[in-house]
Amino acid sequence: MEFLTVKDLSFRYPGSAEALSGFSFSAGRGEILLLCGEAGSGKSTLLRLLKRELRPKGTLSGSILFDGRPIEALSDREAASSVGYVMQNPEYQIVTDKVWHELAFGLENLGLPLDVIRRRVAETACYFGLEELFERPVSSLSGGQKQLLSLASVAVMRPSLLLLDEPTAQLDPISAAAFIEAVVRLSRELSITVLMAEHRTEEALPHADRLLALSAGRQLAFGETRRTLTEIGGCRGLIGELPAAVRLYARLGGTPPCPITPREGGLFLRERYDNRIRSLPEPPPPPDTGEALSLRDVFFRYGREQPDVLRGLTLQVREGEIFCLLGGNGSGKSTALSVAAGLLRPYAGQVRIFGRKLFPARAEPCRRGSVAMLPQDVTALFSAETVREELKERGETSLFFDREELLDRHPYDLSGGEQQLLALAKVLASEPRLLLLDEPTKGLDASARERLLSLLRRLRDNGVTVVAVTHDVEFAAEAADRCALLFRGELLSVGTPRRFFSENGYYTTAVCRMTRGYYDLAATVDDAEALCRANGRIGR
Amino acid sequence: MRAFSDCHPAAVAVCLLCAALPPMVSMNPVLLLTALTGGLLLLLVRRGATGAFLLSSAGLFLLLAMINPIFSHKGETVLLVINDRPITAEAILYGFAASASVLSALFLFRSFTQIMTSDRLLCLTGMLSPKTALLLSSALRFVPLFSAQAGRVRAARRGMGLARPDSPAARFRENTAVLSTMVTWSLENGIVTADSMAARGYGVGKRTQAGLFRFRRADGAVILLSLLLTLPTLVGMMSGQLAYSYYPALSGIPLSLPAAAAYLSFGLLSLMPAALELRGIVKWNFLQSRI
Amino acid sequence: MMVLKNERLRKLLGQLLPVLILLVAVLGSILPFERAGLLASLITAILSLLLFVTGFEKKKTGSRRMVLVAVMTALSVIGRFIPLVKPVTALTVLTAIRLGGEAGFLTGALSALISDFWFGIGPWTPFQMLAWGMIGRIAGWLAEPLKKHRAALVAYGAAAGVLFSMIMDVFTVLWYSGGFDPSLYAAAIVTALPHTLLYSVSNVAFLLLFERPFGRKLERIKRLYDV
Repeated sequence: MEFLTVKDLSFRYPGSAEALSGFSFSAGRGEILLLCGEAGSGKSTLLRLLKRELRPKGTLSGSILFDGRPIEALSDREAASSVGYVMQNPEYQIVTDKVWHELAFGLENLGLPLDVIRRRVAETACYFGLEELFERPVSSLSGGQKQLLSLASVAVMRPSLLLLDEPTAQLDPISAAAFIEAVVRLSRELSITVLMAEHRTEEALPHADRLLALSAGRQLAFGETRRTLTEIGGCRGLIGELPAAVRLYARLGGTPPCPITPREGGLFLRERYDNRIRSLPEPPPPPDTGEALSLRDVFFRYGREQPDVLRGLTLQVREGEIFCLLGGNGSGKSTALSVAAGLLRPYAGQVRIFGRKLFPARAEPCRRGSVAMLPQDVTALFSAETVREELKERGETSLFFDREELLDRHPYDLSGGEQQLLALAKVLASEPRLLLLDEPTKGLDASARERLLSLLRRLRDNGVTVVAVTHDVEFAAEAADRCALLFRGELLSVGTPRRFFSENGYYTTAVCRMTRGYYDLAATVDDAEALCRANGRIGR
Repeated sequence: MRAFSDCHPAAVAVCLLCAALPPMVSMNPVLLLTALTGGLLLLLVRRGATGAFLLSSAGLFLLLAMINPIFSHKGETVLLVINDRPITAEAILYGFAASASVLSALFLFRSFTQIMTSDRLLCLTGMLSPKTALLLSSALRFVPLFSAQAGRVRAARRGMGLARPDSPAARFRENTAVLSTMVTWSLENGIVTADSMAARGYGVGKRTQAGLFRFRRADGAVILLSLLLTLPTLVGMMSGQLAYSYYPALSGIPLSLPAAAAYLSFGLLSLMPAALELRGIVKWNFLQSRI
Repeated sequence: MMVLKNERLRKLLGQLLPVLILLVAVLGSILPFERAGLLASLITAILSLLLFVTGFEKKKTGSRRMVLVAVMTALSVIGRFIPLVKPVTALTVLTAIRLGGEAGFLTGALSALISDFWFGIGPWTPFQMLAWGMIGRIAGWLAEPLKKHRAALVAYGAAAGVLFSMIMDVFTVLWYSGGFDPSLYAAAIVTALPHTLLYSVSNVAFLLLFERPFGRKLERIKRLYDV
């Protein structure tokens, strides 16, 4: 008996074409159903149709059965408490100011007696390990803790269906993994059925019981995970969202079963492909150009009483390269970027941009025109009502913004990728020679990442040096000319992505994990594919 | 029993309001002095006052006392005449009394502000109106969020290559631009908050208001005691037994039986917060020394 | 929990409060206390706030409206930390014009309460809440003309600045001298004059600068939110 059954579901926004059509799928009690598709494929709309309170205006046809009953038959209280919904943004879905109050919020809405609220809040806090944070103000929590709190404050209402709309898109990999783990626990231990939409599925896919693939408002495939993966293997738009092992499998045109985890991917390689050729020829080192950015023995702290965030950071970025700075939370990589942008002044050490001191002894940092920085939250740059006005604020329409059709839209109506493009156009208006990026891939889907990648390469070819701070190892492996790892405000290692990631044991890409001990210097799916093709199938 | 500041917010509020009211309404010097002492003691016991605060309050005390004789020329005892206007001893004394009245409230409310953390304020508001409490709570959630975001917007604008504003006009323009960005950002993202509220059943029925604070017997005792101890003072004030006039000449301090009862009860009331607080501290130190 | 848990009591009080406020205002002058003026005005202020809150509590308010008011409140609290400009009044007025008097009252009153968390809560807090709240409330009543004529907006902004200052001066005088002393009041107004002027001017400048873009932003949000 299925717990959630959706039959022939179609939906149309008022006065526009069909947004969703022909969805039929189901999920059993306590199963995890992963929704996979590009931005704008209708994942959010689909999830919102299943949550009555958030249902968009429009006409809906088809049926949604919740535990055997049509979802419309649920009472308001039942609908609110038994279907939980967690959204993408950790900041904004929190309603109250304290952790305990956020946990109590849903129960307060139901008007439960205070004793019941106390007990449920307490046990939920225990289950999610939030006791330490119980009386803390929400603003003091990290992004990962906030998102976990959002999950807990939904779980406290004892839902039997959990809808998660890209819950880890804004989190760093460690917090994302912890979040997914909590979700998996809820489904396995408490038999909560989970529908989760995700862009990056490396973490989530191995736990999914079923997979629903959608594209442009249509259902592409639905069914048991591995079988469905084989079905959608050829779909271009979707493949970028899937784990490295699946991508490699699809590229090489393998035969089922499809590998999902790095371990399975490694087995897949070893069983089918030879390794006489262990590594690809290395490209020649780039010609020695000047230094675009150099930090020497830079020390920084946020307050006199606070610890050093940068401890003697020394780092050189060559002119005309794409340089990725990696590191965990609190490693000081964002601080290093702000120092390079002249936003924070180090208390010791030297920062030079194209050979000139960034912080002359007395004057303000003078750097107009040579450096520009793209912030993590690009909406911090938007204040106008249309894209056109937004671009007007910073000189004429930028060369890099070639999307005429978007000019009359509101900046907040753009997709994440388009917003980033707009912000980049604004930032590039001053024609910087050094471009600093803070987590440029956060929240982007595969095709937006692809576009960003080609844009950065184009900039590099025009002589712009790019320094990106990122958690996204896959992106760094593909984009960077050189990568560096920061730990506790110090530089640990620098190198070309292939060398850098092959030498790292834990902080590395999925392909490196798969190929470890079999191939050398393979960091991306492209590398692995090339090696496999060069070696050929075993026994042929 | 716990320290005063650990009591239920309602008990704290009732007790402090009861103690703050009489000196604001009556100019009886005994009441004023008692209230001033009580307020100061509570501040000192809780270490709620810095040296600078005490010094500036002393300054304020003198300053406020000076205002009255400038404007009021009533009174019999003329000390000196400035610009044909008499400065009288009575007016000066009335000035000190008014000053004491203002300062005693300042002291008590300083402690009140320090004790009433947002959780306690929400608990109090929630007793009156859960909906207003929710509004307060989310506004309190947004304040730190927005101020952090305002910093990020500023940094982002400077990172984009815009110069740091150097003239007042440029600063005003920059502040306006930042605020404009903030307004858009906060309103647009507020939809998410609203959805999150709706998703968790906001509006399905009558809300309750949870709190961290349990109402215990002792809290009831504090409230009851506060109200009982205010009663004699109230009666005294209403019946005129506590009346004290500064003009034209100082009247004698009322010393009837009801007045004495009022002094005694108000003295107890004024000292109660500080005493309870001290008791909590002493007990804690005692328990700790035995471990 | 205990004060107004009873639904019927709350309702009854809601109906009785207007009468009570009148009563207090009248009784204030004849009570035998020495400083009845202060007591009467304090009680009046608190009762009017209670009256408003009970009215608000009884109504159903959608989640989006609640969030809008909370957002505007937080913005104006942060605004109060900007030296000199202090856009609280302007933001309250703008909220009231676009979202109605009730939202305006709440924005004004709650911003006063929350910012007093940092600046210090005291007997002045109810007055501040009431003064800012009423500025919003009245702007809500005048929403149509204020939206249409910029001159009206300018006049209201200036008047709100002066009015706020004058109301708070009444309280200062009451607190100090217990009763209403015209000469003291005049002195208080005169000493506060530069501040009042600056405040009024910044109100007007702010309103003029922000009325249009802010209106556009809020109208878009109202459309999106379906408020």
